[in-house]
Order: sequence, then structure tokens, then C-alpha cells
Amino acid sequence: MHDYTDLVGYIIKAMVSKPDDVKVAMVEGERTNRVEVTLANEDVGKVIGRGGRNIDAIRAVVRAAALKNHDRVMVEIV
Amino acid sequence: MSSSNSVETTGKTVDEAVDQALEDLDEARENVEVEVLEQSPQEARVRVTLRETYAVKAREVVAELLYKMGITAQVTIKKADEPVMIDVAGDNLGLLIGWRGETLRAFQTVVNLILNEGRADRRRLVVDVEHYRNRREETVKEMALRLADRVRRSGERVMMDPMQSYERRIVHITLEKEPGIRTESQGEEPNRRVAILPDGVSASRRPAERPLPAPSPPLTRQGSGYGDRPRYGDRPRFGERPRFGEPRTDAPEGERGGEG
Repeated sequence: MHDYTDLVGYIIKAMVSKPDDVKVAMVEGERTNRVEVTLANEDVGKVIGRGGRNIDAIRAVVRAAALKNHDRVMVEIV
Repeated sequence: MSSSNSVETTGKTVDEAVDQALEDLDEARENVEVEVLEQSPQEARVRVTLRETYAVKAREVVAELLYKMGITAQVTIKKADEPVMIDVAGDNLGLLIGWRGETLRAFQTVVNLILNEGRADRRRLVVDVEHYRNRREETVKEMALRLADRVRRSGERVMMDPMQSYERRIVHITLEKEPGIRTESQGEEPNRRVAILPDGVSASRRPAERPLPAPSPPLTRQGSGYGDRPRYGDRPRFGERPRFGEPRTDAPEGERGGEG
């Protein structure tokens, strides 16, 4: 399993107003692995986007990166 | 992975040195800052630095993101003025395009999110991979023209598959000047699709100068749809088939043509 925290962290830190509050952790599961993101409350809306547009785009980018390594990754905001 | 944004070159004149530098950087003159380091009648030495324009920043973000995704590709600025276009070229980039360009669209959204952070003026950046957009645009145009032709001939409307707004726009523009038909987007995202309608349907236009297509005879469906032609299942099985010259008498009525 590759580490996707770098990719997720780069994207999210670059798009929020408080990048220092962003924490990204990889939680390994049996089949799928989760990348859990914590961030400042005021940035949550921006990362999710209208109708989940932004988080869906981030997930799609991470999925493409994971597909290359035959990994399955989920990105969750906790 | 960001390439160097500054080069030093020499030439017989300043202009020559700058030209060389622009070639090295693959940039246009308006995007760079020129600093003359040395100048003698025989030789000029310059440092040419890429201006930190939106396009340059965009290319850096795209390159960085691809690097972090583990994708090797070449990233160039295709168009430096609005809307800025970034080109990605390389091998096996189908992954980055995805089904009908879905991944590419997501990638572009992410790049735009990063670039627009903290900016009051939102600018649009277009990312293209292996000229996917051009290829797709051509496909959509061809499809639109072909379906428009069908609508004109049949007089019946055709619904296209759901498409992104950008692709629907291509359809509307392509068919704008086509006679005898009009287009309309219907439905809700993400299933919004273009309907191509025959002109006569429109209430806002006067009846077309050309005669309306003759009403086609009502469709009636009888039997199998192939008239009296026997269907595959009707055929007697091999072995039961009467030999040439034999009279067909032995087949019981109930066994033939019962199923299907």
C-alpha cells in the first residue's frame, strides 16, 4: 500500500485558508484504506464544495493515483 | 518537479541571446523578464526569467500534482492568456482522462481550487491531456451533425446522451446554423442532455418554408416484425428436416412456430 497522505495533504493544504490546521492520516483497513482529513471548521465547506463537488473531484484524483498501484483509497473528512 | 524558470544565454547581440533563451524556455517574449548581464560589441550575455504569471503558476501546480500522483508527464503552457490552457503529454495517460474525461475534469477542478485559493478574481484554467479535448470536441460535433440529419429526415426528435455543460455547448453551437432543426437542453445535472428537435415543433418560429415531411404511415407491429418470414426458432431441427423431394407431411401442427 502506497502512502497517499502526501497527495491529499498537498491538495487540501493548498486550497484552504488555514493550511496549518490540516491533518492527514492514513487508516489501513482490510480491503480499503482511508485517508482521514481533519481541518479548520471554516474550511470544511470549501473542501466539500457545493453538492460535494470539490470532495468528489479530490476523491477522483486520488482514485486515479491509487488505480496506478492497484490500491483502493477513500478520502474522508472527520 | 518544477522546471527552472530562469536561463542564462549568450549571443552576438542581446536580441539573439534572448531569442535563444526563449527557445530554451519554450516561452513567448511577453512572459519573461530580461536582464542583461554582459554586453560587448562581440557578445551579449543575458538572464531571462519567467514572469510569475498565472500560467506559470498553473503549470507548476499541474506538474506538482502529477508528480505527487505518481504520473510522469510533460507539462507545457499551451495558451498564456485567458483562459489559460495547460497541456499534459506523455504515455499511458488514459488513467488521467478517465471515462468520458471524468477524471480529467476532476483533475482540472482540483487545480482550479488550488490556484483560486486566496484570489478575489476567479480565473478559469483549462487542462488538456493528450489533446483529449480536441478529439472529444470533434467526436461530439460529428455526432451532433449526424443526429441532426436524422432528425431532419425522420421529423422525430432525438435525445443525446447526458453530457457535461461544455459538451452540450459544443452541440448547441455546432447546430445553431443548421436548417430544419433546433436544440434544447433538458433534464437536471448530471443527467442533463441535449434534445434535437425538428423545426416545425417550435411555436416561436413561422412554419418552415419547405413542406413538412410527409407523415409516415403509422407503425404497426404484427407478428415478429419481419412479416411472414420464419424466425430462427421456427426452423425444423436438423434431422427432422424433410429431405429434398420429400413431401412435408409428418410435422405435427403443434410443434412448429410455438415458441420464441
